[in-house]
Amino acid sequence: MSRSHASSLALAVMLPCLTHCTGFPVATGADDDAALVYALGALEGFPSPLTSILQPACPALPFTPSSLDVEGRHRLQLQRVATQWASTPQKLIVTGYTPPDLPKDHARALSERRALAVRQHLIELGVEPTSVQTLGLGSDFAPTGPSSHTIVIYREENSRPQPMTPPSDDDALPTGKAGGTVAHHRL
Amino acid sequence: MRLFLALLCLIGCAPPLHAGWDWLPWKSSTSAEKSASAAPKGASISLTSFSGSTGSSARRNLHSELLRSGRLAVLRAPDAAGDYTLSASSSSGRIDATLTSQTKGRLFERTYAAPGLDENVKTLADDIIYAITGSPGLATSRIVFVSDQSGTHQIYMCDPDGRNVHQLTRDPLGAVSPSLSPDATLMAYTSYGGGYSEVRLLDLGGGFERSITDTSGGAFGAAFAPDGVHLALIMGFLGNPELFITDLNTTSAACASETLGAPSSPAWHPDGRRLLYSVDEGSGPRLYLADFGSEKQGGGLTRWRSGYRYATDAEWSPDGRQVAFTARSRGSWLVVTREFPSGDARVVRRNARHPSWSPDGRHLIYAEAGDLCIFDLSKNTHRPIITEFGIISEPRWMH
Repeated sequence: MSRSHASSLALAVMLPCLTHCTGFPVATGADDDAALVYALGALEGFPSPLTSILQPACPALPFTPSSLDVEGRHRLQLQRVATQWASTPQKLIVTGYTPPDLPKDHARALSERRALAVRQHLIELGVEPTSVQTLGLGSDFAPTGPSSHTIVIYREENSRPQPMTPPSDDDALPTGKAGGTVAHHRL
Repeated sequence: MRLFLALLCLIGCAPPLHAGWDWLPWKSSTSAEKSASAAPKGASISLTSFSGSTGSSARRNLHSELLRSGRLAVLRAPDAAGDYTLSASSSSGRIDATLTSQTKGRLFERTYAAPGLDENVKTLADDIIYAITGSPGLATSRIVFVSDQSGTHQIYMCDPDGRNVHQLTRDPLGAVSPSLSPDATLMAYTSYGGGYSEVRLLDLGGGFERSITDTSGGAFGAAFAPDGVHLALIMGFLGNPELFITDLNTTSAACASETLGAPSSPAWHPDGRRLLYSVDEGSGPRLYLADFGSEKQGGGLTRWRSGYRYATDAEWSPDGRQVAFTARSRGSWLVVTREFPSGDARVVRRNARHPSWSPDGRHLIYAEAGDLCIFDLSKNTHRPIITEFGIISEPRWMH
């Protein structure tokens, strides 16, 4: 491990710089036909659908439960998003959701993977890599967020801040509150 | 393959957290010097009368802790002759204790001087169990889990019996996917506080926090290595989610996978050289083994045959001989254990998910119908330990 670390030192220094400067392509896999995968650019300046009210750039893209990649039925919508972006460049946030019944970490991975696939497709359609970020939420925000195998592409335009209210200390108390009670059982 | 060869990147910039947690009540100060003897089956212990101002309380509480453990027969009369004898004195919460074996003589003589009597009793109980049985006690261990009872997902900690629940995170948007360091002084978790997912490190003693992943894209699924220095996690900044191993001392990370699928839920073997994680390549998650000790080129990543087409949330037993995981079969969620590397599989519980082993390997906890439940593997008994506390998920037992 230390030997590989040493041999990769130059790349170690370059990589974070590159990823924070521009979305640069990374060749993945042994398959020569595999498309270049574009690393994500800097996150600075991107609003989040968790903290801002954002407009969808197109109708939500439903995914079949086993699908990881962009499906045929998504292509027309994505082409429209890319065309719209070409005329009015704006920041896009590709956000993935899953149903709440999946294992939590798998749900995050699945939604992130789909969001990255949609981002990749948008880039191949001409959208600037640095203009697209991804957010895989899985089912962490169900039921207030979508509760199905869905990708939503939000756009920055017309966004406005949404006030956030941190939970009060009272909310933290585990017993005797409206949120529920704790039943104690012995091993 | 680019196992540990492809990428090394700098993530995070804060210095590592160290030192200063010795006072933590659940941290046994004597664990490093424990010496185990053989584990006699059905061993009995007698507790002599404890002298001192808090002696009677200490004896009563210790009696309860040892009974609760189910590992020893605790003789009620102070002068009864057991296989082992504990004599002690306790004043102002401090305990001076001596454990003696009928056959081997004195096993240990220790002082427990944590601020509270209860913490000293728990530590003493675990030391007694370890000295007699050779396996860890559970009294000082802790469980972390996620609940939405406050309206957002937050991480909580409780005792192994579900008591003393307290909230660890107050993230305005939610905190999920907790992983405790081996000494339970640090917790890695996924935070949505900045509007995007990032892995953060929380010092449980001082409350200090720092971000581990200063990258774009998703970051989640952190799992502490047994050395407490390395962390496995999933990051997507390269344009595809991959498994990374970070070094908390140098704040560097190496990519340890090569997949076009969706990797998740890494879990370390107790030897710290092997790691299981799941990858979904379009047909449901399956378990893969990363062997960092393998010298064979391209042989570091292999699929581990769990016996199920859908398997995730793996966790190795403390002795490394079994793996517990979540499986799905015929529409039902299952908690399954399977011998490693191969052997019999056992369906421990149906309609339950996300198993985690107790430090002694005798119990599993999991989430079932939103409750936190425990399964005694030797007695085949299931029991909810926290109910009606929102929807509970992702429990982890401190090892």
